[in-house]
Amino acid sequence: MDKILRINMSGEVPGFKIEDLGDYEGLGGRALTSAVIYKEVPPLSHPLSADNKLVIAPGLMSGSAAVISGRLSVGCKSPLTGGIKEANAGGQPSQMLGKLGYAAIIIEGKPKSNDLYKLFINKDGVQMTADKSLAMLGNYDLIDKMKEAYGDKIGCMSIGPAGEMKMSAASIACTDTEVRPTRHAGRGGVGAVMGSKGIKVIVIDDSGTSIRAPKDKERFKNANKIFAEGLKKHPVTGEGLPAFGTNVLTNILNEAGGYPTNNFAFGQFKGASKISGETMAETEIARGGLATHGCHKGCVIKCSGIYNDKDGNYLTKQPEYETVWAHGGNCGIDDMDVIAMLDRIDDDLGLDTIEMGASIGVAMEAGLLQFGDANGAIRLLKEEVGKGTPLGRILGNGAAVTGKVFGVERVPVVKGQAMPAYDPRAVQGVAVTYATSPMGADHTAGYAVGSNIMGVGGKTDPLKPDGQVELSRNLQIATAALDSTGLCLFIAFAILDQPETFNAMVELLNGFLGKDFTADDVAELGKSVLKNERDFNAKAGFTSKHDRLPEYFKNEAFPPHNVTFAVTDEELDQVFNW
Amino acid sequence: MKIHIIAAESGISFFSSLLNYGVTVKIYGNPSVKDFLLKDLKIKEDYISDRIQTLFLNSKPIDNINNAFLENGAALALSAAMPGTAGALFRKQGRYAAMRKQITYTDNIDVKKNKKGEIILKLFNMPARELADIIFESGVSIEKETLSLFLKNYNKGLEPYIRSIYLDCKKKDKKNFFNKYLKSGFQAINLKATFS
Repeated sequence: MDKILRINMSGEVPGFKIEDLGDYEGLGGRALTSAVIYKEVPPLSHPLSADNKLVIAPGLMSGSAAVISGRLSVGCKSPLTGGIKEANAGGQPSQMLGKLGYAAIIIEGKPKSNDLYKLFINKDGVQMTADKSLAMLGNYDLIDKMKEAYGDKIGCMSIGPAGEMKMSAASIACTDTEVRPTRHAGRGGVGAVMGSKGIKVIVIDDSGTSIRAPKDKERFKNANKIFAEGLKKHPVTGEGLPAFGTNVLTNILNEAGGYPTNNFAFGQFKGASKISGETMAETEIARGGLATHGCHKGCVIKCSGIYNDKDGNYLTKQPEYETVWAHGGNCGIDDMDVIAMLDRIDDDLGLDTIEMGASIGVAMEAGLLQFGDANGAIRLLKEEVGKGTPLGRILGNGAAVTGKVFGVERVPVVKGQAMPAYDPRAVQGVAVTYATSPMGADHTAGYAVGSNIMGVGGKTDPLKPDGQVELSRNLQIATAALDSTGLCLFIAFAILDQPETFNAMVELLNGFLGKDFTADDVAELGKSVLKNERDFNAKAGFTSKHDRLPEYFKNEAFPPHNVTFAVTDEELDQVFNW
Repeated sequence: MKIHIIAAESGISFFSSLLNYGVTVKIYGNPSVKDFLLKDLKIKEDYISDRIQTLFLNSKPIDNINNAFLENGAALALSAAMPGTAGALFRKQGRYAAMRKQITYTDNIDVKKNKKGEIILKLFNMPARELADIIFESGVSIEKETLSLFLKNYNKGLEPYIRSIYLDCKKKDKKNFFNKYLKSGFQAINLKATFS
C-alpha cells in the first residue's frame, strides 16, 4: 500500500489525484485516519462542511495473506460527538483496497450540486459518475444494482437513506463475503459525512491484483501458521466465538447483573435466555442458516453467522451482541426475530445499531412507546427514521438528541455517543474507558488485548483493587495500536493467554513489514494515536468535563448490585497521564 | 412427580439449552463451589480448573472457588472463558478483575448454615453442552415457568431425539408429552435424562 487516493468533491466537477504516502508512510488503519484528521481537518470545522474529511484506511496488513487482517478504519470529525472519530468495520473492502495498493482514500470538499456519486475503483484507476437513480436506495437494493452493473466479485462501501439525510447515527456499510451490506463502520455518524460529500457508494474491484507480498517471506509464513493455529486452539477464538458468536455474552452480562435493561434502569433482563447466543445459534441451525461464518476472507475465527426467518429465507447476518442488546434488552424486547428484523432495517437504512437501540430506549423512557413494544420499535425505525419524518430525524440523530428533545434525564451517552451493552455501575473499569475515550462511549476503545504482554504499562496486579484507571489506560493504548494493524480485536484472548500466539502476531507484523518492532514500539504507536486524537478534541473544545459519565450513574443505584459509579473525577483525569 | 427421559446423545445440545434457564439441584451442608462441582456434580478437577473460567454466585463473579460457599437459595452460574473486555474481566482471577471489583464476590464464611438445601444452577455455552449429560443424569428439578419458556423455543426440535419417557416409572407416549403435561397443575418436576 504505497499510495493515497485523494478525492476532491468541491469545484464544478469532482476530481481526484493519486499521491505518495508522504508523512503518512508506515501508518495504517486507525493510526492513519487519526493522523490525517489531526493534521488536515480544522478542529472547529462543522462535521458536515467542506472542511471535514472522510478517511478510509485498511489496516497495515490488509490485502496480505495474514489471517484475520481485514479490518478497515473510517475516520472523520464526528457529527455525533463533535470530536475525532474512528469507526471500524469488517467485510471485504479492506482486503480489496489493500490489494489495489491504497493505504487510504481521503474524501474532501463538498459538491456544489445535489448530485449523488458512485466511485468505481479497480487496478486501472478510478471512475466517478453522478447517478441520481441511486438516491434514497436502501443498502440492499443499492448493492444488488451494483452487482448487476459490475458483477458479483466486487466489494462495496455505501450509505443508505440515513447517510443521505445526514443523520448522526448513519453508518457506512461494507459488503461481506456474499456481497451483502452487513458489516458497518457504525459509530459516530461516519455515514452522514459520506453523505455530505455526495458519495453514495464506492465500488471496489480487485480483479487482476495479487495478494500483498511480505518483505520477509519465510518469517511471515511461519508466523502466520503459528498465529492461525493459536487462534484455532484457544477456547474463545476456536470454540466459543465460532459456536455462538459475540452474542454468547448475553447470558454472561445478564448473570453478572451488568446487562442494561429498559434504558439502563435494571441490570438483568428476564427474557435474556430467549435472545442469548446459545438460543440464536440453535435457531440459525434449525432454520438452515449458519452459526459459524467469517465476515471477510482470511478470517479463522468466524464469529458471524446467517440468520434466516421462520420460513428459512435469509433475513440478516447473525446480529452482534451489542445489537441484540440495544434492540433487545435495552428496549425490553425478547423476540429474536424482531431483533433480527431491526438489525436488517438498520443495515438497509445504514444506521448504527447501538445508537438506534439507545435512541429507541430513550424514546420509550419518554413514553413514545412502552418498553417491550416490538411492533412499535419496528415502526419507529422503518416508518419514521426510514422515511425521514420529523420524529425519525430526531431518533436518527442519536440518543442524546432524542433525550434532549423529549426531556429525558436518563440518557446513556458520553460525548454525545450512546453507551454499549455493559452497564458502567457493574463493570466500572469499562466505564472508565467509556468516559475517557476520545471516541465517546465505546466498548472497543479499551479492548482486553493483552496490554500486559505487549508491555504497555508494565505488570499490574490483576486483583489489585484500585487498578481500574491504570488498566483502562493500558488497554486504550494497546487497542489503538492493534486497530492500526488491520487485525481483528477478537484475537485478544488468544494473545492474552498464549505467549507463543502473541509472539507470532508480532513476528507476523515484523515479517510483513520487514521491521523489528518491540513491545515498546507498540506502546509508542498506541500512545501517538491517542495523542493525536486527544489533541484534536482539545482544539475542538473538549475539556476534562467531557471525560465524564452522565451524573445519574453516580446517583442512581442499579439493581441487582445496587451500586453506583464510584470512580472519581480526579481518577478519571489521570487516565491519560502517562 | 418424576420424569425420566431416555434420549439420543446427539440431542444433548437441545437439552443443554435448558441449563441456560437454570435448574434446581440439591446441596448438602454448605459446600464450597469447588467441592460442589467436584464432589456433588462429579465434574473432573482439570475441567473445573481449565474449562470453567467464569463463575457467578448470586450474580457476583468469583475469583476463588475454594472460598465461595453455597447456601440454600443461592444461584450458581458456570461458563467457559468469554470474548471481549467483559469476558476478560469476569474471568476468575483474570488480569482485568479489578475492572469489576465493585461486584466481585468477597470471601464469605457467614453463609446461612443448612444441613441440606437447593440452589439454582445455570450452565452457559460450552459447559452447558459438555456437562449436560452428567447434570441430567444426576437429576434436576425444573420450575413450570422455566419449562414452559424452554419448550416454547425447543419443543419441536427436542422430540425427535427422545427415545422414551417415563412418568413415575410408567412409560408414556412421547408425542406431545410435555405440552400435555404442562396443562396439569404441577409447580416443578424432577427430571432425569439419560443419553445413549
